[in-house]
Amino acid sequence: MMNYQKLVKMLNDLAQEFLVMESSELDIPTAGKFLNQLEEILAEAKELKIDPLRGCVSVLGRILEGTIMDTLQDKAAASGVLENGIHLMQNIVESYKNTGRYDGSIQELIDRGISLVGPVKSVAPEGSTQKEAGKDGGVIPSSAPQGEDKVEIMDESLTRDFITEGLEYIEEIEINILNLENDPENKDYINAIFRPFHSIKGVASFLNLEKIRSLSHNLESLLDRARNGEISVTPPLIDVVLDGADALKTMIGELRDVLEGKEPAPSGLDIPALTVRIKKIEEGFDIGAGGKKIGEILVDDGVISEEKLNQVLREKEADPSGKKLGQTLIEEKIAKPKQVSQALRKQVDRVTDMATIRVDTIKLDDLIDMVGELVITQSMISQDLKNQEHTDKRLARDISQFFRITSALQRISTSLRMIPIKQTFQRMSRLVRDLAKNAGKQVSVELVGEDTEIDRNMIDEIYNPLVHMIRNSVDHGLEMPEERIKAGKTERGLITLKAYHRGGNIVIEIADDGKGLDKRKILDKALGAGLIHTDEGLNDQEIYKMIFMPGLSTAGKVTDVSGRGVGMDVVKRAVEKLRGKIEIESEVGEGAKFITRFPLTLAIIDGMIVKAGPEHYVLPTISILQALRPPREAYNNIVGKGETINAMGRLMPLVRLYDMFGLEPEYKNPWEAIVLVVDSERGAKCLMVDKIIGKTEVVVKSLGEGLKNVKGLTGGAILGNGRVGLIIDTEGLFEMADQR
Amino acid sequence: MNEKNIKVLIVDDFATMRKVIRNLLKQVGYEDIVEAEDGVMALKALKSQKIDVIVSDWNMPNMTGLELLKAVRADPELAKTPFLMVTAEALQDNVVAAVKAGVNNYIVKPFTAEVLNEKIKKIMDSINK
Repeated sequence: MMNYQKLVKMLNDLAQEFLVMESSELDIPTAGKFLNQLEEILAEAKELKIDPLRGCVSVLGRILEGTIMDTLQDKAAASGVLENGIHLMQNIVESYKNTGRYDGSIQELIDRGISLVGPVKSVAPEGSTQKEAGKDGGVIPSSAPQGEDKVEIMDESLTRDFITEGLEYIEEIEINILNLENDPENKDYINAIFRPFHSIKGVASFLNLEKIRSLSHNLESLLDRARNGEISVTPPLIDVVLDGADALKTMIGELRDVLEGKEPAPSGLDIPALTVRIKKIEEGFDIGAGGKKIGEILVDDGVISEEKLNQVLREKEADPSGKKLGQTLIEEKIAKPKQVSQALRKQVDRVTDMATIRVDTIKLDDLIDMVGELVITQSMISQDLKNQEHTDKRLARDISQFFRITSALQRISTSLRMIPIKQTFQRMSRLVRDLAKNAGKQVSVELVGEDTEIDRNMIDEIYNPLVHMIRNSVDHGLEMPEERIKAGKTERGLITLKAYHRGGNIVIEIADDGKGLDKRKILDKALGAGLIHTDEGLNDQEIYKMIFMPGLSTAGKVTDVSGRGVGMDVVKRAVEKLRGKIEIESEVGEGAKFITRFPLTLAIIDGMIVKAGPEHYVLPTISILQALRPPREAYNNIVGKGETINAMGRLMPLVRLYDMFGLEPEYKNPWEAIVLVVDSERGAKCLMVDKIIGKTEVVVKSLGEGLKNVKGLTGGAILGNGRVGLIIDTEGLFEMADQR
Repeated sequence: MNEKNIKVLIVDDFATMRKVIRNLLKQVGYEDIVEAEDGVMALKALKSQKIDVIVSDWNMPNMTGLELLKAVRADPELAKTPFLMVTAEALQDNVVAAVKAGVNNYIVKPFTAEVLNEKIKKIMDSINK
């Protein structure tokens, strides 16, 4: 015996509540309550298998939803139909209770319901999205010329807020889309991008900013479909969202111009084209540049003929359900699911095939070189603009857009040459194993941060100094197994190679858990070699740094046995040549750590621009210790020793830059000119120049084959004023000076 | 009930949007307005003072408008607080979900001050009967 009691009570409650309600008053909360009640009734009807009841619930539900959405054709008739429906349901249940079936028909109710709410729709969201898009004129932006009309500011204060907050939101979008690119499945990221567009759209609609509203709406609905898993996050989707965010930024910029009473420059935005792209991706057409359509792959595979494909595609166009081609083909039994899924996989493979290509590094270098030129030209233009008295607002806007593009271009092009340091690390860990074996030591190697990226050209350069340091750690840092056991350590030593980015540099650490540097031994050696005269007043760092001095090696054994004769001074020089730095951390009995920092690229250097005679030269900032105008009495000319300057508490040889290159200087007396204290392997020297022009980052360019071996110069650079500046190789320059 | 005596809580993560709604409310005579930037802050505000009507956005971080609505309805002390949901589109699924969860009414962006006032008034009238 079925239990109808509960259902009967539910229906009676519903009927009663409906009766006490005044007909005019089917308000939203009441409709909501009824909907919830109907849901419970439906569940019960399913349980008891009362099929006619389910139809009734569906009709009543749709009328209630129509009431809520205010889409009913005839509002007044609604409560009548609802009342009839509830009675009908009561009758059905009564009949089931008594006879187990219902012989009447619910067709009349359905007909009346349909006349109220319109015919049954198949998929609700699909229809509404399309309707929405159509309403906006989103698909075919017929209002394009009208869109160029000047923006009208409705409320100044609100518009100002909107500009500020809107730009912040777009920044947020940009950050999150990069996250999404790395993790396309992550719904949180999609949401984090969706929401700002949504918010911008909302406010724009109030401020009557139709262009902004429409674009953010289109982007939002694209992301909505991605969020619901209807389309996947592909590179074209990411691109179009980024372009959309860019376009919004530009439009908001225009808005600001209008607000400030400026004439907005023509943005050059092609919103209709962008909209079409969005729509295409939204409809799942664009699966990526060069990607083949699923139908084409199926034809290639011989699964279907081309004629058949075209026929299905035509039929599909007429069908508004928006099904995917593959789905249609399977449903109509034209292709087997397996064939379609194979084709889909091929499609994806082809797209990923496109993801990487091999490029000659020379081409890459050329590209980076040209981008470097572009950046410099850009700074020349900006310099010129600053010098103009009246700057054309429109031009300034365009230029700032141009700057944004060049800096993005520069970022991208430098990243092209970046590769993970993994390979180098792996080579080194093999080396450690070989070295350890030869030395009769046991070593484990730990690699941290192998994915850290570095300029391809730097990798070869840093390899040798790093190898020396590793040798040093294995040979001198780590103890023999028996010594380690005595010291209470594990038999097996550990070398850790670690890489990470910090402040525009790559930091590479080589750490061992050996005995650490012996300060006493270093000091004794240094005293013995006459490098220092007293061992007092030196801090740990200063003592450790002494191992980098030429002629100081605390481990006589290595030079004897291996005969390599490579001291740490060579390492230091090599590192500095790459404009890097070394630091040492050490704890006696615990181990030592060599921390090296290298610039990520050698293509750009931080330089000091100096003038000597009519020429500009660039000196690497890293080698300059001090710049001064020496007092007259600091200058000495000692026979046999040459000219000196007393700077930084020492007498240092004076090198006249103009003299080295045979130029006519502005000043011949050091006390009128500027003197730079420049560090070199040959000791610090004072370099005399006429003037310091400034400090800047320059892109290093080779002087070409013909001038490759000119002493004292490493290359050239185009300076901010468009002139060429030669980059000075201080080592070579001082070598020349010493030979005179 | 006079507009002046109705305390409105505006919930939206977009500050400009809150200002838009505040301005609209002011245009039609509302004076007592508080704001919250998300559902969590809104619940805090609701606990600390007597709010007459909540005007909340649908799409917000941390806690969506729907989640806020459900939280309000689930809290015995707040359950009766009138709730007006602001949505960008009248998407039937969303609206019906909100209505089932007990929203008093909804309003689709963009709207005028008059429509907003009308909706609030309608809610206040119905609960004061």
